[in-house]
Amino acid sequence: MAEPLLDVVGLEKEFSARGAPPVRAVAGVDLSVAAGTTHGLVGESGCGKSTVARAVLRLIEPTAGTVTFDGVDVGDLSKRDLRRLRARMQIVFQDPVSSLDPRMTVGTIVAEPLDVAGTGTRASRRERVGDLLDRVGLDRSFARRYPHQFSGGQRQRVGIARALAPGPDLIICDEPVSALDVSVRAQILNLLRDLQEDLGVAYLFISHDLAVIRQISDMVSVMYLGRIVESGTREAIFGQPAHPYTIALLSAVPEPDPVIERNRERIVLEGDPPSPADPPSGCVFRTRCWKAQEICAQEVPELIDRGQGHPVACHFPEVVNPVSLTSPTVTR
Amino acid sequence: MNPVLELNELTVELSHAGQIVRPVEDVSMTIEEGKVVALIGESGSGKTMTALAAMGLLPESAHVASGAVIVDGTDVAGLSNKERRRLRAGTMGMVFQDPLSALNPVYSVGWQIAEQFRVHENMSRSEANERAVGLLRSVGIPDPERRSGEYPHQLSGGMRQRVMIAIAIALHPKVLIADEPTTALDVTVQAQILELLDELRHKQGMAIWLITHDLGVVASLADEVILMYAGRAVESASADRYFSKPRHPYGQALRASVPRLSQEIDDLHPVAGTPPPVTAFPSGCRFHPRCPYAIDRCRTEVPLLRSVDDALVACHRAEEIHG
Repeated sequence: MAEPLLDVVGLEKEFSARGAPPVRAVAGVDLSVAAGTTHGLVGESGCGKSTVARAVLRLIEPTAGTVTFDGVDVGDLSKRDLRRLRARMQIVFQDPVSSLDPRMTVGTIVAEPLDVAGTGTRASRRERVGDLLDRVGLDRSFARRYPHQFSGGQRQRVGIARALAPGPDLIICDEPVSALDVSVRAQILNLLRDLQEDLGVAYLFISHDLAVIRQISDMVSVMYLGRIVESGTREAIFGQPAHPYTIALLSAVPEPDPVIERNRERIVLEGDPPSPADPPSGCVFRTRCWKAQEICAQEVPELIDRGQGHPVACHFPEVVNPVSLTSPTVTR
Repeated sequence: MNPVLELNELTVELSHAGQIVRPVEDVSMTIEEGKVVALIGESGSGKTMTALAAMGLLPESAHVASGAVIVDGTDVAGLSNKERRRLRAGTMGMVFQDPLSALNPVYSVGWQIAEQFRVHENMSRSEANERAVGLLRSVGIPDPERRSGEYPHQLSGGMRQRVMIAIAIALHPKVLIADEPTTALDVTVQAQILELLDELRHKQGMAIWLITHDLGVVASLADEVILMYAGRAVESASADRYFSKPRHPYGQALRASVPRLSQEIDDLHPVAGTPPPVTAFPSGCRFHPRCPYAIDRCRTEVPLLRSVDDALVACHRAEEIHG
């Protein structure tokens, strides 16, 4: 296999505040993204997925671990080299309202990464902005308008155009469709996929929505309380899930089909995820896991393949056919 | 079956920047005892405004322009605020999307539940507190004696929503109005709340009016579905009927927009464009600018809900396009 475009090894991030115990938001994450593909990172709120995104871009400094982009260790770079590298690594945020400066025209917003990099002449940059707006399905004339004149979906298109401007190899998409209505969400997902086909851009796609992750990802990693608990191809995660948390997540999502819903026995996890400031010993999922044994409190399960065909961080992994999750055969 | 809540050609007017607009127009629906009816649609479709009108909780700038809201046999339009409040207490409970802003931050959650027993049932303080603890237990809050003394900020999102539900069902309403009750929650916590709502319906025979954009949530709970678009109901059918075969082009487009967990879908086929703002609802059928089947008639003539097979559909071409 070719060298991955992005390779994250042992990433950790601890936040500390005076007088409070440190919060280990990310507790050792490994993941990689191959050029031109999409790696979906899925988990519930507070699991650390957005912290991973920020640490990869070095918008925050990781506490430990390495981030290698196209063979270059991002942690070693000077500010100046980092800025240059960021042209190749862009980000699209969840909230297209707060991530666009309301006082700037859309043209200025999209041109900013080009102006910073000093690409071409002023006129050629303006031309490029028009092309980019066109590419994301907006009218070229919109460059003169302000963000508030657009709908949520259009603003997210502006955010994508801005990310595309410097010609990145990787775009980190942090919940890019979560604030959007159903029909608009589908438009944006289709746009992201078309852009990948045409431009070969790779995505690290972060979402809490499993159906969206399934729709867009080639590889999928499932996060819980700062750790990746299962990782594999889309087919593996959705076809042969083996970590109890992945299985519970898949079982928890209601399907838009009353016949499926009537006939399925849902695995309902009790309680809430524990606080990352005070994580359980051993396996972080054990406090909500129906399979937990003594060893789970003592030993952190490594993220390795124990015969499931893909890495699973569980002492007792067991592949479940997800079809059975939609039928009454699964016991709680 | 007795209807517990009926809306009869309800129209809501709102003054917006000096202009009178109608975020809800001619919406009718009936919720019978023990049934779950889902009102679905994207943002701006008027679903929340419809619920607020039914509760008598419209913002200052809005009012019911015409139509009736009949609660447990009584038309609430003619009632004073006080009479309406009394009627509402025993018949309707409401749960909102964001429990943190709906709960009072300076009172303990037990106090907020007990308040209702003190005000509406003249209970003593200690008796009311005891009832509050029992109610917290019944909505699945562990250690309810301790939790009842805690404040909203000390609880997780899922627990806050359970407290909201406890407050809403305290006086045994006939219908629970749940506006996006799980939208702010994580999926594993959402599953817990859906289970609780399902229990309320089956064990207590409570009717639920569910207002949401999440089609999965609808499929897991609802008996009937009403689809709204730009202030009007465009389809009304049993949940099974709606999900197996939506008849309105907008319902079909929504279905083609939703990624599934249970199956690989190669292509999503979303309808182009975005829902119109209330200040610019199109003429005729409000969906016509986005509809692949639109003909001249759709631009000029408002289609009314009419019976097509087992559903009510507001589309001039409903018979031709079910294909």
